[in-house]
Parts: sequence; structure tokens; C-alpha cells
Amino acid sequence: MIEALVHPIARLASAGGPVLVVIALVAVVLFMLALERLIYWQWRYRRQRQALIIRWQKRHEHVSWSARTLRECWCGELISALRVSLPWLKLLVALCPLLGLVGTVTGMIQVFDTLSVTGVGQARSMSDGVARATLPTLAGMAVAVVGILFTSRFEHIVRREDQHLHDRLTRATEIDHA
Amino acid sequence: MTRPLAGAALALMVGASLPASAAEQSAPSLEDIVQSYQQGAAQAQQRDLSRLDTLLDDREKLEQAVAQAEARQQKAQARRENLDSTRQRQEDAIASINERRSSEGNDLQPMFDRLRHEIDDTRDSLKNGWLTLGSDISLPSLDDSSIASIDDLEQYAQSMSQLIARSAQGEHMTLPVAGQNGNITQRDVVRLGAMSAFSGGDLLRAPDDGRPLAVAAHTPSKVSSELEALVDGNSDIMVLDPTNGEVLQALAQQPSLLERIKQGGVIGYITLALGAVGLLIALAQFAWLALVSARTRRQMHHFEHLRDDNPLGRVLKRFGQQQRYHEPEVLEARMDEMLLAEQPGLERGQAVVKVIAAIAPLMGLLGTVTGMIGTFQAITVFGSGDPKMMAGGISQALVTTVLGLVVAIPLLFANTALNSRSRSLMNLLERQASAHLADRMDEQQSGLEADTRRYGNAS
Repeated sequence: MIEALVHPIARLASAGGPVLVVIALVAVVLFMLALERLIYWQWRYRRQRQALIIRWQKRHEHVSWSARTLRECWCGELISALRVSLPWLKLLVALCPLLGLVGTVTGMIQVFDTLSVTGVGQARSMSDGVARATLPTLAGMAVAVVGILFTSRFEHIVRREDQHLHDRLTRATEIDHA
Repeated sequence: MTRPLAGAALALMVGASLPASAAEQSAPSLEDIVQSYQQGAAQAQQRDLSRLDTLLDDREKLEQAVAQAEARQQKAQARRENLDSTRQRQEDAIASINERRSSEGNDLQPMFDRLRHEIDDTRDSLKNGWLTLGSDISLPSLDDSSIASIDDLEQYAQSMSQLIARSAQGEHMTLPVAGQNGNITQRDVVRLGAMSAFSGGDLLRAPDDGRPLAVAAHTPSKVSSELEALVDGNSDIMVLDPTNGEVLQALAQQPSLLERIKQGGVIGYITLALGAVGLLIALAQFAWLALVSARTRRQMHHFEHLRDDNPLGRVLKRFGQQQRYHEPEVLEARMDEMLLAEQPGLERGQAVVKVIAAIAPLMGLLGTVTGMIGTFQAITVFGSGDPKMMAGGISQALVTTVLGLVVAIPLLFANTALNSRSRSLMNLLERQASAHLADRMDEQQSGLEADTRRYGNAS
């Protein structure tokens, strides 16, 4: 069972060369970071938000300049904790096509190396290099597309949360005052 | 007849007169020499003429000499006939012997041919193999007409069995081996059957007839460590080159990392230098940011002494010097101004790193294009028949692209790290300063209320 799972992956890795392995590592890191963000958003962030609302309600007054500054400051803290690893996610997404390009070029170098040893006659001897050129490109593109989908979605979520947080805080005090 | 004699006399004259004159007078004038030559020539001619006269005069003597010569010729003729007849006899004998041999040994002839063929084959294949390394197994030598004796057969069978036995043996020996630099030294050599031989961690080049053993041009480091472990008995993995040296030659042609970088040319070096500069700047700035954030964190634990060595301390200290009872908007504007003054220090170097990260792939593209230009020049000069002519330009094109990307990727990482670090520091500063400001405002508010209450009561 494990053999049946591992074998095709090992074959893919050996056909794609080291660059494909690097792309796979980047993809793993990328998706783990993404998953961590989602879990954080679903669990910890909500609890912290609740705590913040309670802390805000406990404050004796909510309308002075200092109260508004403090509220801004607390919200900023929470939201920036939510987007803390977003730049890294974006970096990894931007990196994937570049790594794919590295794979393309190293594969082409290999093709020309085999050309200089075996001559033009044997097209089959080039197939190794061509696989090394094309597989990482494909993999890089695929990972980058999925990563872009996630990062843009998460960016959107963060922006929406920012709005919601302010709305909630305002509403909480309105209820209190009313 | 006179002319050669005169020539000889002239030569003698030259031989005799030159050293003498050289000994007597250090610098004989050219005219003297010419004069003496002319004198010598005249004397020789005189002498020849007198000898010719005496010979022509003495007719009897001449006839006698002719008779003597004729007698000698007759004698030689007789001897030649004698020798011819002996040769004829011997040829007859050879013919009869050959006839006997072919009639008696006709059945054996194919066997001898076969044997000769086999021995030649074996010798040829031993020439380029490892089996005879360090020992001399002598094969019987047969030429075309000789008859193989039973000893030859036995010797051949014996040496074949020795060879077969040797092909199953691994053997240590000490032999002269030519190293990479061409110096021949005595080295410890291990032979593994007929498959391969190595010395220390180096595979040996397949032996060429008559030349000393030599180390193969490029033994991969993994292979040499395996070989050393095998010799020391720590491993039972044997490394073989089943293609008889061709794989090793192909490996030797593979450029190393440094050679690859060299293929990138000037543009490759410029890209690498830019990358090094960018990384250094990024590292320096990162260390600075780490220091600043450590100091800021320490400051956050001790708000009672504000230090000057961190931005938070500086901002709060200057804030403390502000007069009381300012409008909140004025204070906020002051704070923003102070924070803005701190920002360039935290974001220093990011622009350079970002620009280099953007430039590096462009440099790669530049190298690609110049490499392609070189390739097309090679095609216009040499035609497209030989792909090896184009290889230089193509390597440059590809290697610079790789170098550009290799430089850009870590710089992108560095840029993101710097950016997120400085931004989080900036956010921290802003939040802490605002919180401090808000606290102060609250304090001020309550102070104001107390003051108004007191003064209100007093008045």
C-alpha cells in the first residue's frame, strides 16, 4: 500500500530532478502555512476577538480621542496578527514560477550536455533533460496558481475582518450606551 | 678525370690550409686566401696532367692490368654457378619437405590455424584488459609457418586457466602509476578480476598497450569514498564501469560548478557580485533590525527609564518633553511626525535589495541574449552542422539565466524578511506610542478634572 503510494512519487522526483523536489518542499511549506492561517482564523482569532470586545466594553468611556486611538491600536494588533505570515505566503507563491524557470534552464543545460557527448543522432538521450526541463515548470505553475487563489482569498478575508471588527466594536458600545 | 681530382686537391688544400692559417695569423685577409686557392688549383692541375702523361705512355702496364681483371671475373663467374646449383638443391629439398608436411599433416593444419587465431585474439583482448596487471602470463608465440608443439598447446591451456582463475580474484599490488599531474609514482593498486582496478580512491584508466597505468581523469567523489571503504573492508559495495572507461570519460567532460560559473562569462560574474552585495546589505540590515527590536522589547518592559538607543524610547522621551494640555489632534500630529522620522532607519537597504532582486533575472536575460548572439555568430561562421560549435554560446545563455534566478530567489526572501520585520517594528512603535499617548490623555483628562474641581472650589 505504502509502496504503491511512494513509488510513483519517487519516480516523479527522479524524473524531475532536484528542482522538482525543491518545488515540492516549497509547496508543502506554502500549504502548511495556509492551513495554519485558516485554523488560526477559525479558532484563535475568534477567541481573541471576543476577548477584545469584552475589554472594549469594560472601558469606562468610548468616545474620547484617546479611546478611539486605543481602539484603533488594539484592532491593528489583532489584524496584523492575522496577516502576519501573508507576506511569506506571497513570497512563496512568487517563488514557484521562478523555481520552475530554474528547472527549465537546468534541464536545457542537461540537454545540451548530452548533445555535446552523444551528438544530435540520439533523440532519446535528450528525453531525460527535457523531462527535467518541463516537469518543474509545470509543477511551479500549478503550485503558484493554487497559492495565488489562496492568498487573494485570504487577503480578502483579512480586509473583511478588519471592517467587521470595527463594526462589532461600535455596535457593542452602542448597545451598552443604549 | 681531372676535375674530381682537382676538386679533391682543393678540398685537401682547404682542410690543410685553413687550420694552419687560422693558427698562424688570426685574421688572414680575403685576398690572401683567394690567392692561395688559385695557386693550389693550378698545382693540382699540373700534377694531374703529369700523371695522365705517364699512364698513357706506359701501354704495357695497361694491358697487364686488363688481363688481371678478366681473370678475376672468370673466377667470380665460376663461384656464382656453384652457388646457384647449391640453391637449386636446397629449394628442391624444401619443396619435398613441404610436400611431405602437407601430405602427412594435412589434418592438423586447420587446428594450427585455429590455435594461432585464438592466441592472437587472447593477446589482443589482454592488451586492453586488467587481467595481466602486475603479472606476466606468457602466451605461446606462433608465427605463420611454424608447427605448434604439444608444449605450446599445454602452455596455452595453462595460461588460459590461469587467466580464468585471475578473473575471479581481487588482488593488492604495488605498481608505477601516473597521477593526474603526470608524475609516475609507486602506488598501491587493487585489481578486481577483469572488471576494474583502482588506486586509493581513484579509478584507473583502462590500460593501453605499453603505456604505464594512469589515474582516470575524473573519479566522482562518491565513488572514491566507496572505493576507499571497500579497500578498508568497511563496505561490500563495488563500483564498476561496465562501459570500459567511456562513462568516466563522459564524466570528465562534465564541467564542474566553477567551470559552469565561468561559462556565464562577464555577465555571470556581474550578476553574482550584485547578488553578494545585496545579500551583504540584507544581512547587515537584518542584524541591525534584530538589535533594534531586542532593544525595543527591553524598553517595553521598563517604561520608567526611557533609553535613547531604541526608537520607542526616543519617541516617548521626546513626547515626555511636550507641554501639557495640548489638543489631542496636535499631539497625534506630533507623534506621526516622530514616527515618520524613525521610519527611514528601519527601512534602510530594502530598496537596494529589492532593486537587485529585480535586476538579477534581467541580467540573466541579458546573458541569454548575448549568448544567443554568440551562437548565431558561430552558426554564420561554421554552419549549423556541428552542434558543439554552438555549445559555448548556449551554455552562456543558460548559465546566466540560472545565475540570475539563483541570485534573485534568496534576495526575494531577504527582502520579504526585511520588509515584514521593519513593518512589524513600525506597527509596534505606532501602537505603543498611541497607547502611551492615550494613557497620557486619560491622565491629563483626570488631572484636568481634578484641577478644575480644586480651582472651582477655591474660587
